[in-house]
Amino acid sequence: MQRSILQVVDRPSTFLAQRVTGLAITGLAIIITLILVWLLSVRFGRADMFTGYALLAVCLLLAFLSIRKRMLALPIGPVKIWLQVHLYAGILSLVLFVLHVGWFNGGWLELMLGSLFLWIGGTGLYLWYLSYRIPKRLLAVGRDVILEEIPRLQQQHAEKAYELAMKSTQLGEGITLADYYQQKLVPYFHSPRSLLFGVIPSIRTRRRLLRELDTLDRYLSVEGRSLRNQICDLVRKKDELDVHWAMQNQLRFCLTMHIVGLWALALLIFVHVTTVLAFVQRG
Amino acid sequence: METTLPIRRPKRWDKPLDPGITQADAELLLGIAPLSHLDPTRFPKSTPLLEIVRNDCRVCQFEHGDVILREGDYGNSAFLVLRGNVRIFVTRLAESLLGRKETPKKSWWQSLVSTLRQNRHAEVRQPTEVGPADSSSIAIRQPNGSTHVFIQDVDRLFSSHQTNTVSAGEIFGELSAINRTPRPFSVVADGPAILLEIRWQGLRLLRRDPGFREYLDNLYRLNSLASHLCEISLFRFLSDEQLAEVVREIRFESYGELEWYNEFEETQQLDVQKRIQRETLIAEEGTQADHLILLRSGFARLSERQGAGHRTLAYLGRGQQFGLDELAHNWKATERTQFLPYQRSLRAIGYVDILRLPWKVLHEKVFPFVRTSELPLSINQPRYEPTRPIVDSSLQAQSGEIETGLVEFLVDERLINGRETMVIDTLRCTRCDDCVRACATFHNGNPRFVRQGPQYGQWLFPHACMHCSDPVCMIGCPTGAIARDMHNGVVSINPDTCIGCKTCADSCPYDNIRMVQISDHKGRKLVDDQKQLPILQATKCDLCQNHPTGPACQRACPHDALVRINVGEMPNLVEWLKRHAA
Repeated sequence: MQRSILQVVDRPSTFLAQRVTGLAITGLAIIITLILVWLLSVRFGRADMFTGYALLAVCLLLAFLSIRKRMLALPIGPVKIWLQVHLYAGILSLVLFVLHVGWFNGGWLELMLGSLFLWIGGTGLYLWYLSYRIPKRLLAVGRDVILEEIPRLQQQHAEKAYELAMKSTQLGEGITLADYYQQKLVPYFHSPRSLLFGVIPSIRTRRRLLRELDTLDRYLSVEGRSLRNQICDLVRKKDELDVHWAMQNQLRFCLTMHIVGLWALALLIFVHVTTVLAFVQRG
Repeated sequence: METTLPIRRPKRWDKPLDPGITQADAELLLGIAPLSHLDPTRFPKSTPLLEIVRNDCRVCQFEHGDVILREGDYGNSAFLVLRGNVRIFVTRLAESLLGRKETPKKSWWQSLVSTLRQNRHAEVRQPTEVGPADSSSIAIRQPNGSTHVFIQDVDRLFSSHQTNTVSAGEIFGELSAINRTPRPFSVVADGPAILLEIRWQGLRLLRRDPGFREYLDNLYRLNSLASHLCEISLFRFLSDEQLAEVVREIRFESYGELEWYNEFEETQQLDVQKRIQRETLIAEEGTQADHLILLRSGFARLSERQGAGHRTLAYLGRGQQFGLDELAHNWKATERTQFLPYQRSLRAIGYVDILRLPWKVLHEKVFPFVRTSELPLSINQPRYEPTRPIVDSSLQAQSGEIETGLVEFLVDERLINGRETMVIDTLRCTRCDDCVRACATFHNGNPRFVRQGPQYGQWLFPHACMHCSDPVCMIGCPTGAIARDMHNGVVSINPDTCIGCKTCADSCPYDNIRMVQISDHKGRKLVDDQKQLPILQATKCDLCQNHPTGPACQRACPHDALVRINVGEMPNLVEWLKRHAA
């Protein structure tokens, strides 16, 4: 029985095998491109038109992932294959870009085009890195949470922390825990985390708060310590939610930047190609 | 302050199937054959025969054309014809006649257009789409609060299909009720008929009467057992006569709770040791290996003692066997002293129906006719030997095996029930939600799963319908709207006949069915024209069965993190896990 190429590509394989195959094919494509560019340069003195058209073709291929995601009913293989194609075509496009542009020596249109291309390439590579980093980081954090549920859960934790702090005042041991809550935990539970945390989430704040809560022990009764433990638990949970929030939003933000750049690039490529063709036709 | 509140302890039969049946009615029913042949002295005082009939039975009236049983439904009761006739359809009825919707596969172009043409509002239905269409060949009537689907032009069907008539005094549907297997045929009332419905709990109690039990067992022996055995490789070498001898010697047994899903959540809260102790022991390690056990339905836990507890090695399902290694070893042994006991234990997970075949029958009538190469090898390093101490084996998984903890998790969470379980490798999943969006695109703007659920390490099992081997959600659907596709096994809900009663959503122990409020294309919520209450419908994953590309969630995952897999079959799972672990 004959199998289609997509069925062959879609066969079960390990992650490593996929990477090795993808990189090998990309390497081969790069070598063939370099040979062709060298041959064209030797024969005609320049290979700009070839690298330009090749770059345009690869860019169209890259843009197809976005279309594929929106047209899932198309019988052209699952998105995972198209993402692999996108990744390795992206590497090839960077090589073609360098071959096509060399060093920037054009006008403002070319400068914008080049910058946008690098922007998309950069965000693409960062997204690739994130696709490795985020799952590992989130798995290490703990239980999985859906992004849309995080604000509700954060609100719940904040309310619970407030209740516990208020309860501590009824134990007859002063306002130690309530005061700490007012000074340090209200901002923690009710304010968004810093921009730096959004990019590189760290557990530094959580550690500091837990250490400070630990030192309150000597001023608390047995019941007070029990409440403190519950607050510590909420601090941990809130931090985990914040990490989820930061990491999941980071991915979405970068993806948006990548796609916005893509549309801008598509527009500039159109202008660039039209201009170039107009000049070519004029001779 | 008092800390306790005394109440009457709930008892069996607090809620009879039909509160209208009086003692006089029950006595009257016991005078009708075959109930009149039952011996009341065979029943204990706690569950007397009269009370079984009074509490576990109900009298149902059907009109001409009423559908009594639908082929493929999961049964929970048997029927005794009291008056009138019913017809069993030997040939299959069209799905649309059974209140189900035939879902023709769209072409990829139709699929593309339907996914691109999204409505602004989720779960949109036209008011005319809710309930059977006027031109439909079926309709719904609701006599005395119950719901009956009836076929409009049933006489034409009687003449065009092969049917068998069942008359007063005959029972049907008992096998599916006892084993909770799909109904093998549809039954329709031929003229007004009065039937006695006996729920499975009562049916199991009635089996205490040896005569009645033999009657039911013989029905199974006659109708199904030989063909069931033929599916097992061990028996394929036997001639028809030899197979008939084996069939005669087989014993039927049931273990565990058929309604396991009622106590599922409570059981989950228990300590792991207690959870296992609750499971009914079918065969214990270290005891004499005297029977080959064949699983007829349900699941069983294969375990061995480890330290102070029990380690789950695997789970067995329908068609699998237990004790063959030991029995084959013993058959090959030259002396009886070399006979080995069972090396592992077998426990019922939920409920399980088994067939027991005595070792003598195997040794004399089966093994001599099986090729030696087809039999398992002798056990070289038995765990249980008369003269040797028992040594715990290492908990480290061997190559080609699943991690012990994951096996325990799958069994404890009953995920082994899933035939199309969604598994997400969270070590690859970036939480981009492309799977959820794809599901919504394919399903009226509303995703049919939640990307959350039980998790073991990196493996997440989201709340998505698993199209279970034992689909308890299908029990009790009054209109047959939730049904399993006879061809591909997909359990889906027909919106035309779903009346929003929530029976399926309440029954699903995994919380994978959701009730949604439906709207028209302008976003107006549909409400009942009399009580102004919202019209709800049950929704769940249907594996995108009407789209040519298969499950959209799996197809949309860019990181190869999501799969739909039959967890009940361990080799599938092992292969996928290995690929992802690498």
